[in-house]
Amino acid sequence: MGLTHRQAWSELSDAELVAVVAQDSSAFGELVRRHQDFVFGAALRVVRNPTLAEDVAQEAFVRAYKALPEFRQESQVRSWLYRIATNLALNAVTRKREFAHDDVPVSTTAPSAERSAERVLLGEKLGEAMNDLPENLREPLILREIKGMSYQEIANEMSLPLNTVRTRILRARRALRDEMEAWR
Amino acid sequence: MRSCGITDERLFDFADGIQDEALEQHVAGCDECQAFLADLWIGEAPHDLSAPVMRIVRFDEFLVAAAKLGVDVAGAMGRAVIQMGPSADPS
Repeated sequence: MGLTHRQAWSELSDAELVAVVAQDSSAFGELVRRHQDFVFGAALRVVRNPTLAEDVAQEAFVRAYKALPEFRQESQVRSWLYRIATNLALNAVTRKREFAHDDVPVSTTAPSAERSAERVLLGEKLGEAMNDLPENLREPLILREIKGMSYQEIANEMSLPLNTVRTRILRARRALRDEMEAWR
Repeated sequence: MRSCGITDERLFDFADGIQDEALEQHVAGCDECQAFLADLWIGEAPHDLSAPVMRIVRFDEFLVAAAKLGVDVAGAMGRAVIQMGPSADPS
């Protein structure tokens, strides 16, 4: 695939690009690059596991490619990809749950001393995970979750745009969630 | 606030994974909400997915084309592995 092709494709609308893919399948790569963050984000929101989300996102694009001849232009490409990715992600979560139910016996209530020790360990682990966060993510998260400040108050306190604060808190929560995955 | 009436706050919670079936259905058909989420998720993909996706696409196309020509793909691949050895570089 030549660079000139890629440059030309990058200037096309989604609808135009879909038409090009019918003649040259390499152009589909541009569609992937254009929407991969969105499709990955949509998958991650549902499956909450980056590795699984990547698999789902890849599968979503492959399914989209195969279904491209049936794609109707009255729908936006992004909407169409979103629906494919979300359905695949929901299926992946269902399969994961079924697998877990089949193979892992449901634990009975743990003795209270054991649970208490578990909570202490969980607290320590959470503290470590918080400390590992970059400063620019940790501070807004603490202000929100521990001090209970609103997004707007945090934005004022840190002299940041409101959306930046929200994005940082979103990323901080995700980073913590990934870190704590082993404890779930 | 978008013309659909969904607030940023609600979409942030949605992006964060909070279950909201009504919003899920709404977002699936709302360009404005999807545009907001697309902005929010910029840089989310851990790396470029186009290469692995195109590898799968091309391999599938190869299989379809080979099948149309009546080629015994599985047999041919098996024979190649036997002749070249599983670790041989086919290039």
